[in-house]
Amino acid sequence: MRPFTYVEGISVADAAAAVHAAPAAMFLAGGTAIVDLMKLGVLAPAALVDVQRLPLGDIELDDRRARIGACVRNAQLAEHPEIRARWPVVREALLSGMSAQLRNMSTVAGNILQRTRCPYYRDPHSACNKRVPGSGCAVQTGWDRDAAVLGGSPHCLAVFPSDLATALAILDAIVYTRRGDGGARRLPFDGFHRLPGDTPERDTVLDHGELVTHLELPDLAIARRSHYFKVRDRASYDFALASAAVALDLERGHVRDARIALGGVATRPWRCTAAEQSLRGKRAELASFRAAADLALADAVARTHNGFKIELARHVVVRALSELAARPG
Amino acid sequence: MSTTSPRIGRPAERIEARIKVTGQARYAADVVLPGLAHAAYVGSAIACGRVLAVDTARAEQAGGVLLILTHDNRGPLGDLPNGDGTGLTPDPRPPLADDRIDYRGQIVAMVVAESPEQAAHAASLVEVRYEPAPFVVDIDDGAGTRLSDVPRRGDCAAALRAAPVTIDVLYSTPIQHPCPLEPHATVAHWVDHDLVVYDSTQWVLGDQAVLARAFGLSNERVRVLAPFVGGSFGSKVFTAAHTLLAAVAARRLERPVKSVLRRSEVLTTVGPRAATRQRIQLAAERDGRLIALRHHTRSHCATERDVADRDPFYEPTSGITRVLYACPNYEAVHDVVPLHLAKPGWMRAPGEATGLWALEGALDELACESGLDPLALRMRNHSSRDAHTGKPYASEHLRECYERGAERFGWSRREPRPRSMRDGDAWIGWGMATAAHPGNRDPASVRVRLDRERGGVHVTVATAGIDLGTGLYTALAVVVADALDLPGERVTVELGDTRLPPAPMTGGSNLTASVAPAALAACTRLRRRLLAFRRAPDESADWAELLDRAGLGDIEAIGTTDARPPGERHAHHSFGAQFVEVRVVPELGRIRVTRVVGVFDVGQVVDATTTRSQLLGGVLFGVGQALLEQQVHDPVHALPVHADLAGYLLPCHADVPDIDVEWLDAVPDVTFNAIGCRGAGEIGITGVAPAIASAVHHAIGVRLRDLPLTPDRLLAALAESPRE
Amino acid sequence: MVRLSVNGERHELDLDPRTTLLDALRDHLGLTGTKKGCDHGQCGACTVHVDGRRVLSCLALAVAQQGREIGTIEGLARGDHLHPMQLAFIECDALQCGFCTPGQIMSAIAMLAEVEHRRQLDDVAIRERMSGNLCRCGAYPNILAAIRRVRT
Repeated sequence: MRPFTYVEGISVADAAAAVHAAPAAMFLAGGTAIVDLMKLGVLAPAALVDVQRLPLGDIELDDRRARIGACVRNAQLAEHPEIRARWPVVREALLSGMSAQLRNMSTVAGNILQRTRCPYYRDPHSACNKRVPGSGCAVQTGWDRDAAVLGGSPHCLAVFPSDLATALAILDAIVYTRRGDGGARRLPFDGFHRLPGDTPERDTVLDHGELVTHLELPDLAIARRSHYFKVRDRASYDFALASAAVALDLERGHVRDARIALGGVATRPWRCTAAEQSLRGKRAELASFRAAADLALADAVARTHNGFKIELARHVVVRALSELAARPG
Repeated sequence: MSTTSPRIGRPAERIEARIKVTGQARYAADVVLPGLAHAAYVGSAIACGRVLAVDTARAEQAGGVLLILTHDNRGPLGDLPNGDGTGLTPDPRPPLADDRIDYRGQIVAMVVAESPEQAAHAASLVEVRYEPAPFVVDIDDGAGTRLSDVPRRGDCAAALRAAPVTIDVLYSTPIQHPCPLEPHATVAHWVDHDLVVYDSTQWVLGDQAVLARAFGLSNERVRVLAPFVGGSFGSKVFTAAHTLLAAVAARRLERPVKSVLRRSEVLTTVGPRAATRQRIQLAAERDGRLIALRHHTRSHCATERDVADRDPFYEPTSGITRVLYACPNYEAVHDVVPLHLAKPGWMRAPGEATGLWALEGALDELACESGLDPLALRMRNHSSRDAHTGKPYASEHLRECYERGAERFGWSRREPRPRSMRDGDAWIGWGMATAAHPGNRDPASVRVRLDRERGGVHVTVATAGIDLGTGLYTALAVVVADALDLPGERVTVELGDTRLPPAPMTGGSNLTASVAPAALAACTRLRRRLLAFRRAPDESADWAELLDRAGLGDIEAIGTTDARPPGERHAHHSFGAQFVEVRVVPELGRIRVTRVVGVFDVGQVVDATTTRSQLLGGVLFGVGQALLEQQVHDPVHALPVHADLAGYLLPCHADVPDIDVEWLDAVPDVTFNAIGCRGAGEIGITGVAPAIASAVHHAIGVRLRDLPLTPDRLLAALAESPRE
Repeated sequence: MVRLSVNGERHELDLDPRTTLLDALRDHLGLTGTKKGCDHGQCGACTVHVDGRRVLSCLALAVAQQGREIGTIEGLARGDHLHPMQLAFIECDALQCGFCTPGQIMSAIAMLAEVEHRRQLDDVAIRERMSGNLCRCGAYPNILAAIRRVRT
């Protein structure tokens, strides 16, 4: 780890300004991602501005929305009874990821900002455009079993790993930020994470020194019937090989509305609007779910060893929808 | 023994448990000494080639740096004692010997600094220029060299041609890693020109021999301590580079140096279980009786030089396949494939865990082919003698293991047809396999000392042997308390110190079978000497009273276990039967093990508590081997893809099935040693993976022959399967 | 100066900002019961309590833990009286090499505190909630037994 200065943020504006002013400064929240990557030499900030004690740790709820502070711990969010009742997919996604210890430490903002687990990104000796722009992408010729089948580019095939972000993708979530120059932004979650294209070093649309202050979940009737389903190598404590966040609005056995997003297979949280559209008005049954799953993966591109993810993700979508449709209420 | 001894074979409390649950057990990396400096390493970024230059200028400027060692300035080290049995290193070359790179991650520089943070940062500033050369890191891309020793009996080729039923199948195992939870660690400290080393090792005497030779010292001037070791599973037999370099740096700096490998360094520089590709050819009568077994193994080794030096490491897969089943014609050939990877080593049940994966899998295929129950097929080919040497086993109860295991599992209710059991979305399958591990025993000595103290006596048992979590502390306490008829709290056990009576490395499930009888012998001597002070032959033995009468404050005796004589008439082997239930959700690629039953014959069990734990742990090791564990290297860039614990997946709590382990009681192997015990540390793993794969076949009718059985493999096999 | 409160004792330490809570405990306070198994949040051996909740000390910077109450394995026993979880681990032989054991115990204690109705914790739930603590020796079945014993 490169030596760095540690500064405790005094206010949101002050913290954002401090990072904004120093090109090599970064925010520190739960630390579970950044400390890991600093030890690997992947990140080497010269200064860390600690935002954990800023007033960003509350969950506020009313009829219209949930306002979730950026520094709310993932465990805190998962345990919240009203989140569980109104947005069950959020809780399920959180509990399917990390360990209890990591959920106690890591924050909601840190979760959606976490970096890829691509082994070439994590190895400072490997070519990786995400880590060192212009250095190349070793996955293109290397070991690609865990590489993305959706949203990849010739410059990057790194899977975006957050389970929570996959859930938020179907919830019309909004990310609120404070910029280093004092401005503020309201960013729809849909456009928050970027496709890698030829600038994979930028995972999100955030600018340097732009601090996520909170997330908003608008009240959404369909979210009450929502579900997260994840397949991984190990029975727990493991990243997704494929996962799906789904929501269904059903009326007398028919789908009025549906939401589907994929995790573990794409370079960003992957909303499947065509698949959702295909379900509207259909009977909530296996054939409809299969057709939707085919549409969700229609654009998937397999490489040498990751083709199984396409088939697996199809089954995951079908499974997630089937389990959800079978739920009472 | 069990009929006359009140304690042996019963459950005792693990005697070191209290200090382990309170955090007081001191492992090597826990040692704190005044002036301790900290090491970090620079690993090679290339897999093959030469180091052209190591630029340490920036690193030297970094805060707290005390010393940087490279092959240019490491200084002389003596020849290492490989090959004479006194000690082992992973590479006959000492570390930082020259500019040659054999694998990615090989240590090219060592940085020592005041703090671990400073050392790690400075290591990242060392700049190395390389001249890369072509490399091979995939066993399927490498050329094999045939080993000359080909064990055979009968005429395999002829039998294979003539047999009514034949099986010819390829099984594979990946590189897997022992991956103990405690990273390899050494603290080296020079005291008045003598070397004291706290090490995470399976073998303090091996360390001592290597270090003494390296530094030109007599053995007595090197002391190695390892009272607690955080698991090993074969990976701490060798005296590794970080141990030697810690001692070099400590001498140079005249300060103690702590050298702890990072997890990525453990996974890339410490020898793994070699990858294997195994072809099994079986010939059988229609009733399942084996006529021929041919076993062709390719396994990876380190460099071509090891092959040229006629000392390549090979995974000894045929050790078990040649002895296990009655079969008149047998042949094993072995090719080694040099790769640019760290030299492989031994991992829990080397040879058995890999060889039985192939053989037991092939037998399940033979059972299907012949329409026989897999258990009946094993029974039919059972051998009560070592099938290769023909020596009868002194004590062999495999049939009882099969029968009791089958009963506990409910095997008789198994419908032979695949896809015959379903629960919701999961197909259920049952499989079984034979477990086996040879009885090993090595020369050992143990000192037992009785001290007169207020209210009685206290006993101290001491040997250089090491408890890796295996239960040796407890086993020795049980044996001695039993032999001297004393309560357990009057016994202290001291282990893992070269100053204690010599013991072999902990390996091959040998240690209890080696040192427990030696402890018993020491107790017998003590008893004899003290009982001479009885006033009448029927006077009860009160050791305190007898010591007082003898006018002694203390008394001690050393007991030994001898080397096994050449030309033993009997063979000694442990066996078991393992039964497994899996649930398979094919479209999700999901295999979950839900139930495991194992019944074992390990001779006389010394302590039931730690033996049970060993067997449970073995089963879970097998679950990891079967479902999760593999190390893959990118063939283009040589990147070790699974170099951390999020990539190299060990089973976690949620992977654990219900496990029922049992052993046969009252089956002491009395000609093996005075207690009749064989080891139980490794046998638990040996049949698990093939039983799981057979259960998967039973569940869904798909045969998987490549470990581990991951979702991508299952989905690929289903896609190729004619069923769906 | 970094002020840390560990097992109820206050300490003022001169720490490099890079020092993790784990290294501060082990190298600066001599509390070596907390183990470093991976140093990257992937094994659970370094689990400690921060304000009563279980966290991984290898990913926590010590300098960021000021004002919080840190609990380690060394702080569980009251004199000779072991914590019930420690006793249960001994009674169930829920350990072998012992290296993951402090982390397992700290995790298990916090895990039981996380749930309101302990009796509803079945085996599947306990296993899932303990999955962040790896044990290479495979003591898992006995760890589960020990936790069950304390749960009731």
